[in-house]
Amino acid sequence: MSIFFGWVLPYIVIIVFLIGVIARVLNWVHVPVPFKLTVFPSPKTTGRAVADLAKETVGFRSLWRGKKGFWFMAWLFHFSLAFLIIGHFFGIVFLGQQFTIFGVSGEKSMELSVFFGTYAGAALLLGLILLTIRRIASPKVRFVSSLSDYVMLILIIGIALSGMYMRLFDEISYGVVRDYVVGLLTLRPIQPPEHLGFMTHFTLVQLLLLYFPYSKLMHSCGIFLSRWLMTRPHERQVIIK
Amino acid sequence: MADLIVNGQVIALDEDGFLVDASVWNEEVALALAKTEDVEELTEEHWKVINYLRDYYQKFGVAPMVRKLCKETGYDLKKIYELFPSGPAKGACKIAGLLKPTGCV
Amino acid sequence: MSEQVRIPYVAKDIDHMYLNVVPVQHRPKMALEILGQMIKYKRSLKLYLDVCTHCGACADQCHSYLGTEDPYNMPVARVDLVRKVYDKYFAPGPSFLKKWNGAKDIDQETIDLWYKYFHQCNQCRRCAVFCPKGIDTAEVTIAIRELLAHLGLATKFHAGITKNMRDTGNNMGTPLPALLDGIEFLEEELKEETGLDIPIPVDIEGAEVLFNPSSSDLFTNTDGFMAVAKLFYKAGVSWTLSSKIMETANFGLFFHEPTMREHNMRLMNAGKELRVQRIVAGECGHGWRTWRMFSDTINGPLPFPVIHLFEEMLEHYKKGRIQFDKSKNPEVVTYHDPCNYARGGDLIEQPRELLRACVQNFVEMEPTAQYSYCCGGGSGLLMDEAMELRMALGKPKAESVRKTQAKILCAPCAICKAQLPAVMAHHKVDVEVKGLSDLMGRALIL
Repeated sequence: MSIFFGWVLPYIVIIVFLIGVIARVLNWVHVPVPFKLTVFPSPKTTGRAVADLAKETVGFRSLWRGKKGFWFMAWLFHFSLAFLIIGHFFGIVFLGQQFTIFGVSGEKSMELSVFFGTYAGAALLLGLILLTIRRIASPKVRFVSSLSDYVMLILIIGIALSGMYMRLFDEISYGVVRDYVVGLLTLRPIQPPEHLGFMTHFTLVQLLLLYFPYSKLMHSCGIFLSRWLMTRPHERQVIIK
Repeated sequence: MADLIVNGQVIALDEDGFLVDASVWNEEVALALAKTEDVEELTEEHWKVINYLRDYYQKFGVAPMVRKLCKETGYDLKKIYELFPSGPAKGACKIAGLLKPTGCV
Repeated sequence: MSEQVRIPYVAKDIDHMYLNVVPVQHRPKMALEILGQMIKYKRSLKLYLDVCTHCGACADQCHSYLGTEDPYNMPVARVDLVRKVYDKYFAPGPSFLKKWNGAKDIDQETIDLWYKYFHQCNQCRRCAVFCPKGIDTAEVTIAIRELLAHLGLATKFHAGITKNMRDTGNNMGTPLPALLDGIEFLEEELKEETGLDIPIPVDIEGAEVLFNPSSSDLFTNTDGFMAVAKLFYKAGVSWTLSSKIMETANFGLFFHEPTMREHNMRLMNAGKELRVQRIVAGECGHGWRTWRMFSDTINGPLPFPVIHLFEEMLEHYKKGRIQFDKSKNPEVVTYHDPCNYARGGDLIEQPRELLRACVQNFVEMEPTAQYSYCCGGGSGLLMDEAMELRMALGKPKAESVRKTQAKILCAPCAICKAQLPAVMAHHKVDVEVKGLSDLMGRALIL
């Protein structure tokens, strides 16, 4: 069983995820844009257009213009998610020692790592719970929600919960995780950790990554293309002889 | 919209209640059309507008601009709306048997 | 659902658009074919069907949903009508996942729903401003209306107008002798009003400017048109109309691309034939958006500038060639941003500068500029049979105007001028609708 979830599935996931995402993006890029679809007011230089894109993807500006309550839920969720993903990378690679470059001790760095991770995890859960309540309680949002919208929320909540479970009740050492992941990536897989919390968390993440290319999560890549359609600066064309 | 029956004759109307065939128009048809526009009777003032519209339509194949209609009949826009509640384009033109003006109007 | 009871009415005569009425039983299959083609050449359509996360942020921002309170008028729900079919037939992935997305078959009922709800979207693009992904529902509405046209489901109102355009060069179907008669009359009126011989020239080769009015400027909005003649006269600019085409309004933009292209090319050719130095577009929303954003795709590089009347007049005002006496416009005036000027046409500041120059008391409404609500008539929803719908669509706008307590609502777009008086009367907002040219003409010092 653990051989399947620990060895076989990860490789299937990596292939499906990478090929799936790349294929979808290439598919979009190959469709032409016949007409200019700028929504004004709009930046006049590429630099400012990129800044606009950044303001949107980092600050969720368009949501801020609408209902601030929803902005808070969506932003909290995405911001803590980004924080966690980056934190997982640095935490696992550097075994919790990433903050020593700021001059703190190894022990302090580990404390900070745990601190940030715990609160980011809690924030993520809070955001997810608020979004789920909104999707179930608001008649408007319920009207447009399909099963996949609910499945996605449950899946990510499951990932967050299993992560928090490990943090609060049943820790796994970063080193064990690092060795296992490195083994997979270098095509020299080692025995998956005998840790229920970790394997649950890891398997749910794998299911998410399998689902990713065929789901609305592709908005993570598509948003840049769709916003570029309305933001891209075009010179006003006039030829004066 | 249901067709009109005038003097035993069936007068075809399009979906907007305008005449399908402009050539069947006569005074009785005008009265019948007026009733569909909530105009119970056609007074001399009504006829002044209707005759001007038909005259112009015969010459130019289209309704005259509203400003000219007002100038030539001597009735301002308010008066035209009093006579024809749906206004010069949709009310007066319909009763006068013209085609429905279309476009951004 | 039989064709007869559709609102808006369906056109019976579409030959002139090189379209056929497809037999009912073949429509689902044909619809799929066309959708499949469209997602290959319109990146906007493909992306918007793929990246929506059903967050619903668009719902509270759409005047159509706010006015009609019909959940299918939430932009997300409207596009979902297409997305569910797209998911079933075109989206990648295993079919059980697509079932979870709500993927469904296409059938007659779906086509009926498309016809109904894509004629309840004004293509105003306000949703795009509030959508995190920038999903522009107007692009989907344009595509689906075109798809429906290819099934033989174009509206009677739109098809009739494109026929008039083809036959006479204007949307009202006014033949040239009538246009010339009207122009002559307006010249007489101008002489009577001002004592000056202000011309309205037609077909003057080598004039500096070719002016494109909306054909309603020669029928109902004649005050504005006379004002344009006065403005050019005072600015000392030689200008002309073209007898071949006297319509800047582009109805093809919102439902039939070949018509849009043809209309724009005809206008460009008129300018080339008359060897003008520039084209000035009049008070028309869709016509302006086509000029500003689409005409170089259609025509290639433009041989001369194409600018809006406001840009032209602002230039003359700044150079001191025209001056205004604000006291001629003493009432409280508020400004309605036509969707195709603000969000669609980069024309937000210019009309405001002119307004501040020619009226005494200008107040902004809430929301305004790119956040402004559509009048409810956008994308040619001006047909009588849809009056109930139109009044619902105009409700958010009516409330915005009511709060300003303005006496005059400046709405410089032909569709807005046709829609807003009815909307304001219906919602009992006591205000008079005028174009910006009208206000400029009133205040112009001759």
